[in-house]
Amino acid sequence: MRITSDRLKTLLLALYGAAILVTLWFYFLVPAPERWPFVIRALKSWPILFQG
Amino acid sequence: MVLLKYFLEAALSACAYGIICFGWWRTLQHRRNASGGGANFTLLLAGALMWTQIFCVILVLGLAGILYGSLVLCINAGITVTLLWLARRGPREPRKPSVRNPIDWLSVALVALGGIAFAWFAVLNIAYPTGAYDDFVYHVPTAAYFVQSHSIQIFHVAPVQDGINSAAKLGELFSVWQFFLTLSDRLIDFWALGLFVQYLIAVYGLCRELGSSARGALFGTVLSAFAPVLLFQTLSSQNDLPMCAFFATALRFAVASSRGWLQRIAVGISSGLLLSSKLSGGVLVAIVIAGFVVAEAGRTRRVGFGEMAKSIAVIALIAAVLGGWWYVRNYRVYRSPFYPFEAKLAGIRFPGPISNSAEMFMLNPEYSALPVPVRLWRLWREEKSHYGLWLYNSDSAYAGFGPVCFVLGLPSLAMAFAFSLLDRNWVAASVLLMIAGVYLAFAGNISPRLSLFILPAVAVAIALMLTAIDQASAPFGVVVRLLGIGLVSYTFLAAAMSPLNPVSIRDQLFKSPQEKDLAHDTFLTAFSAVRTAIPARAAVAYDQSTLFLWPLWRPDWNNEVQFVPTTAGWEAWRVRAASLGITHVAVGRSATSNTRASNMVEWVRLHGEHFQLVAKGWSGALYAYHQ
Repeated sequence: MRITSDRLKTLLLALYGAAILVTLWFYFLVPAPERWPFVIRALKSWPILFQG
Repeated sequence: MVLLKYFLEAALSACAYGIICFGWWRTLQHRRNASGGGANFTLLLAGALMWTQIFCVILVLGLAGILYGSLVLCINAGITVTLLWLARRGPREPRKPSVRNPIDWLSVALVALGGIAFAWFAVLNIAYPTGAYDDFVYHVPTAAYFVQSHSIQIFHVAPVQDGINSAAKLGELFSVWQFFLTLSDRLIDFWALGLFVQYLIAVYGLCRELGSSARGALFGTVLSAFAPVLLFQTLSSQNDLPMCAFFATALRFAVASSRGWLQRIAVGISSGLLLSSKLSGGVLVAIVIAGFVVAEAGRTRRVGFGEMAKSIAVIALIAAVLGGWWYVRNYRVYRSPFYPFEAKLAGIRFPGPISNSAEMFMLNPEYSALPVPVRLWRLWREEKSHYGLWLYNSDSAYAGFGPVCFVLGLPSLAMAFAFSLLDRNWVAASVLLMIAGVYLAFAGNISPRLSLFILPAVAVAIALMLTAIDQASAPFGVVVRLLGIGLVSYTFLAAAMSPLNPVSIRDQLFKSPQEKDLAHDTFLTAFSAVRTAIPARAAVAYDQSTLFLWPLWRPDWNNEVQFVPTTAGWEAWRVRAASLGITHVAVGRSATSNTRASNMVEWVRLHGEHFQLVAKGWSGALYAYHQ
C-alpha cells in the first residue's frame, strides 16, 4: 500500500497526540518529590498577598 | 508614596523608549516601499534600531572617555528629533479596510493571561531592585564604573569580579542608559521589560515567516514566553534575555520573505547586538547566517554565489563593527577573544581558565556528571528544586523551562520537524534542526538561563503544529489550545512568587516602610539598609572577601568603590587606603574567591579604634574607617 503524504500526516498527528499524553504523564504523574513541595508552597502563598 | 515615585519614573522611562522607537518606526514607514516587509517587520526593525541607537551612542562616548548623561540624552534626543523631522511629510499608508474575523475566545483567553503575567512581572520589576546573583557581582557594578569613570575601560577589581572586564556588555550599556534617565539605579533593569516585548514581536514574526498561521503563531509565541526562567529575566539585568531576544530578531529578519538591502542591514545590526550580549553569541550568529543562506536559496530563485557571498559579507561586517569590540578588547588584554572561556575556532585553540567541563561543573556539579540525554530529561522535567531553596529563579539550575516546554514543546519539536520535511518547508526544517543541534552540543545547556535560545524553536514548533492540526482536525486544535492555556495558568500560579517571599511582596506593594515586617524581607530590599547608610562622596574599600559589589554603591552612585587587597598586610593596606582617601570598608563574611581569604575580619577585631560599624546584614558588613 502506498503511504500518501496526507495519511502520513494523519499518522504523525496521532503520534503527536500520544506523545503529549506521554509527556503529560511524565511531568505530572511520575514522581518528582522535590518539585511538588515548592509548587504547593507557591500556590498556598497567593492568599498572603491579600491578607492584612 | 515611594513606590508611586518609582512607577512615575518607570512611566517616564517607557516614554523615552517609546519616543525613540516611534522615531525609527515613522522613518521606516516613510521608506515603506524600500522595506516592504509588513507591519511586524517594520515594528521589529524600529525596536532593533532603537536598541542599536542607545547602544552605539553609549559605546562610542564610553570609548572616547566622554560618557556623560547630559551628552547621552542630548544625542539620543537629537537623533530622534531629526528622524521625526525628516519623516514629517512621509507618505502615509492608506488604511486598509479592517476585516472583522469572528472572535477566537481561546486566543483572547491566552492573550489575557499573557497580559496579566507581563503586568505582574512589570510591577515586580518596578517594586524591587534588580535581583539576580550576577547582577550584584558584576553586571550592575560594570555600569556603575562606566558611569563614574565616564569611560569604557579596564578596571582594577578583585579576581572574582573579573566579569566586569572580560564579559561582553550589552545589558550593561542599557543599564547605563537607564541610570541616565532616572539618575538612580532603582530601575536599572527596566530595559528588560522592553526586550521581553522585543522577544514576543520577533518570535511572532519568525513563526509567521516559517509558515505558521496567525493563530498558531500567537499561541506558539505566548506559550513559549511562559518559560519561568524567561519571565524571571525581566527582573534582572543579566544578558540572557537580550541574547534570546536578539537571536529571535536576527533569525526573523534572516528568513524574512521580503529580501533586500534593508533586510540585510536588519540581520546585521541584530547580529551585532547578539554578539554584544554574550561571548557565546557567535554560535547563534552562525545559525542566523545559515538560516539566511537557506532562506535566500529557497526564496530567491537562481541566486548566484557571488551575490550570496556579498550579502553574507555585508551582514558579517555590520555585526562585527557593532558587536566586535568586546572580543578585540579581550584579545588585547587576555590574548583570547573568548576569555575566560576556553574555545576552539577554525582549528585555533584559545586558552582560558574555564573549560567546557569546568563550566558545566560550576553550573551544576550533579548533572554535569550525567550523559546529555539523561541530564536534559531531568532538567526539562524539572525534577529537583534549586539546592532546596526554590523551584524557579533567574539562576534555576534544576528547572526553569516550565511544563509548556516539556509537555507541548518536546513533542512539537520532533513533529514540526517531520511536518516541515513532508511539506518541503526547508527553511523551517533547517532552522529547527540547527537550533536543536546547537542546543544539544552546547555545554551551557546544563543551565536553562544560558540556553534560552531554544525558546524561539519551541515557539515555532508549537505554532507549526497548531497550524497543521487546524487544517486536519479543529477539535484536536481546541484540545491542544485548552491544554496550553491550562499549563500557562499553572505556570503563572506556581512561578509568580517563587523567588520572592509573598509577605515581602505584600509589604512592598501595600505597606509603608514603617509597617513592613523586615523579618520576611528578601535580601534584595535588605541591601538598601547598607546602601542608604553610605554617605555621599564616600570612598568604600573592599577586598577579595566581598562577592556582591552592587550593595557598596548608594542608589545615586555618588560614592566611589575601590578594590584594595589585604594580602600585603595591615601597614601596606593603610598606606594604600590613605592614598585613595578611603572612608569606609566593606567586610565580607567569608572568602568567596580563589585568592587568599580576607585579613580584614581579623584587622577589624585587632584595630577596632579605626573601624566603626555602620551597617550589616547583607553578605557582610560596612565600617566607617578612620586613619
